[in-house]
Amino acid sequence: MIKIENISKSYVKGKKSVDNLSLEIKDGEIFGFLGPNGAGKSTTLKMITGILNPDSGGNIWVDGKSILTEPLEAKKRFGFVPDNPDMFLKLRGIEYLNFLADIYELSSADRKNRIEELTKKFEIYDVLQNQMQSYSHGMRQKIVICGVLLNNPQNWLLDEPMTGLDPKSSFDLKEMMRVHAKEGKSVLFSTHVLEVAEKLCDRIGIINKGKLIFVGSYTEMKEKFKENASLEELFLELTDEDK
Amino acid sequence: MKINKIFSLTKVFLKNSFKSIGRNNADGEKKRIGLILLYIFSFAYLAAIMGFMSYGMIQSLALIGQEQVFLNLFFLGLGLLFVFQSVFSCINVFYFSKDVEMVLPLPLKPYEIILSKLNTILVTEYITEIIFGFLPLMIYGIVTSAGFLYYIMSIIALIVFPILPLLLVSVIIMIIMSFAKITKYKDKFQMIVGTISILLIIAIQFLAFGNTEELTEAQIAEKLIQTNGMVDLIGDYVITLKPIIQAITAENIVIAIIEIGKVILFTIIGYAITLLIGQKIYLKGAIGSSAGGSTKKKKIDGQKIYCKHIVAVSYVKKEFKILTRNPVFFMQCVLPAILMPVLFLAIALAGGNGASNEAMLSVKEIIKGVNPVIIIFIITGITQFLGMMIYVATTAISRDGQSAEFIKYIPVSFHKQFIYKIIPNIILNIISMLIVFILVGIILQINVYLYIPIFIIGFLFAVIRSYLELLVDLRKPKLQWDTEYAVVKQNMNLIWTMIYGMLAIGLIIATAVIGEVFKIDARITISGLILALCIAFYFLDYYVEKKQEILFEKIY
Repeated sequence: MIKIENISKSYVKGKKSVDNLSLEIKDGEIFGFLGPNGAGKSTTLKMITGILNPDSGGNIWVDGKSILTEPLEAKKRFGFVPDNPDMFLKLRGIEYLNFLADIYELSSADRKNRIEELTKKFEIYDVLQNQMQSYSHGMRQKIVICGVLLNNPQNWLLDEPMTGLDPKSSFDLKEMMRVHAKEGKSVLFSTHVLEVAEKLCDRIGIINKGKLIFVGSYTEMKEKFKENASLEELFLELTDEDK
Repeated sequence: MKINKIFSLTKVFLKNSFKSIGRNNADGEKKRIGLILLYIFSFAYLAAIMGFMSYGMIQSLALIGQEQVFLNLFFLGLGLLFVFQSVFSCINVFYFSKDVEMVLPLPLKPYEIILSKLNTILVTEYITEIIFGFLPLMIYGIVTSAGFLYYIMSIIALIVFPILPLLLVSVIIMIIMSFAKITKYKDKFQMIVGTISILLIIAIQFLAFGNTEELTEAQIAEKLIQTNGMVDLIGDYVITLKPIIQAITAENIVIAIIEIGKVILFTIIGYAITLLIGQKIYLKGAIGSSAGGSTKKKKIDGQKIYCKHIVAVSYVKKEFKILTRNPVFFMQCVLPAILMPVLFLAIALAGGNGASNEAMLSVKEIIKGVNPVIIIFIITGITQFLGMMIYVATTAISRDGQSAEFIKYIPVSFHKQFIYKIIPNIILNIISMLIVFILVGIILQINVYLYIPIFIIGFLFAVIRSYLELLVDLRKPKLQWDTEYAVVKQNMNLIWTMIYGMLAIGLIIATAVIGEVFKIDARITISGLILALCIAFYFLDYYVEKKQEILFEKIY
């Protein structure tokens, strides 16, 4: 479970990228974070993961552990897929995964099972001995996802995870998210693909100019706004400043 | 129109290669001026060295009336330099540069890209020429009291001369790249070529240092004329060499124009051939290098690959892998730690021949009478001097670039990661120190027990410097870069590595002086220094641990 309470972030004085945001992602839930470019999605995810510190006042808890006061305990409880998968490209795929397994203290037997299971599922097992710089964007995305899922964290945080994935891998990842949520764990991901959010998420949150303007299920959103509108239309209406 | 296209393309390529200097943002202006000053200073320094060397050579040759030999040697040397520079530049600019990918889909003919790329390289070669070529030719003119024609012809020669070696190299490289799969081994290729160039530079320095001391001017002239014999042989194969020298030294303007005309004609023919070949084969190689291609499948074998390590070992191993597999990081951060002390060793051993042998013996005699504490301080000072060339800690965060945010979300404390990040720097300092020990062991044969305090002091200094250097990088990390050179060369933070090294040397000298002036027992002086360093280390580590959250704030 992830709980965000009254967090704000300004990169430039007087201009808030995230403005007094509060949100709760429950166990067993897939939560989609939607918003136009520069709305504050990545900034919020970066604050949850400890990459960015929120401006004073708010707090973030991951399974009850505050990222501000107990960062290490909180960080053990989530796995994060950043939006840029170009990480440590001089390492071989297997070295990268082993490095992460060491960070998360996985035993030799456990890591062997998990690495084989995940990389075979994402069809990158055969290239694990190659340096990651030889991988395509999609393959890099897959290996980063595998790395995050190695220790089967309670909470998954994914920033634009579908970008660059082929249809099969995208399908597999969505399936994995569903299984993960069914096991009583939580998934929070940001996306631009409205269709994914519509079909996959239990709840969605729409953020615009740093403010959370809607939180609820797709059905609730339809009820609240136009009943027959598509998510695309609703999204455009909500985020369009002129209306 | 086409000329316009080539002109704007050249401009884009040039801007792309020099963009780090031209960048302007809020605090960028200061940095820009700093960098430009640094470049001007380095260029002036190199140009001055070239000037002095040339003056010496021309003077020696003038004694026996053979000053023209200098021009032979000069142009051949310059030609070799350009061939060498072109090999490196052509392969990088034509094939490995990131802009290739951007340009290939544009509606441009291959010859337009080739011409623009050639212009880009030519501009960098002209910069080289200003440093290495301009002053020697001017000095020659002054020493030989040459006329106006000489200077005009020299300038034309300097403009035309670099083109043909560049064209030749580019054709050869285009042919090789059209069928060879060098792009697959880009890193290894760059690493090998880079290491060879550094070794070559060292070898040249070594030869220069090894001989000049014992030679008289007449002997130098004799050696130069001997070398000129070889030049004559090679000169037959370098078609522009003889006409250029004849044009420069011609007393008659008609002869000068005819000879320089020959050079220009050869160059035009060279251009035509290069463009004709390039038009046919450049794209083939370039497309191959920009495409990712299929990733080779390699089987994972054995259980050993899944072996568990403690976080510290795994983290430090990762740092070393990235350092040694990235050619730029390897050459700029790792290689100096090994090469610099070896260079020291080489020069010192070369000094062990002939006349210098006596000097070495007398040094050994002197050392016997010197207070051992002074020897300890001198050798420790040398280790700190060599440590100034190791930039691993100063670039530890910046090297990660955009991956650096990884540090922030893994469940390992910043304090621990701080330590893992500086361990490679400390290890390289230790390696450098051990090489110095071997050198000192061979040459000076000092008491083995002296190595213990030297190692302890050197080690403590290395640790403290590493802490301070990483703090510098954390204060202003350079995370947005698209070429590694931005981190290890165009980075003002590196100056701090030198400043801390100088401070360490200053501290060592100060301790030695205090010990001598107040007649303090050697053991007390050394113990005092060690204690002071331990206390400094304790406070530094305490500071990093307490302030870790704030220290890592700039990474996002």
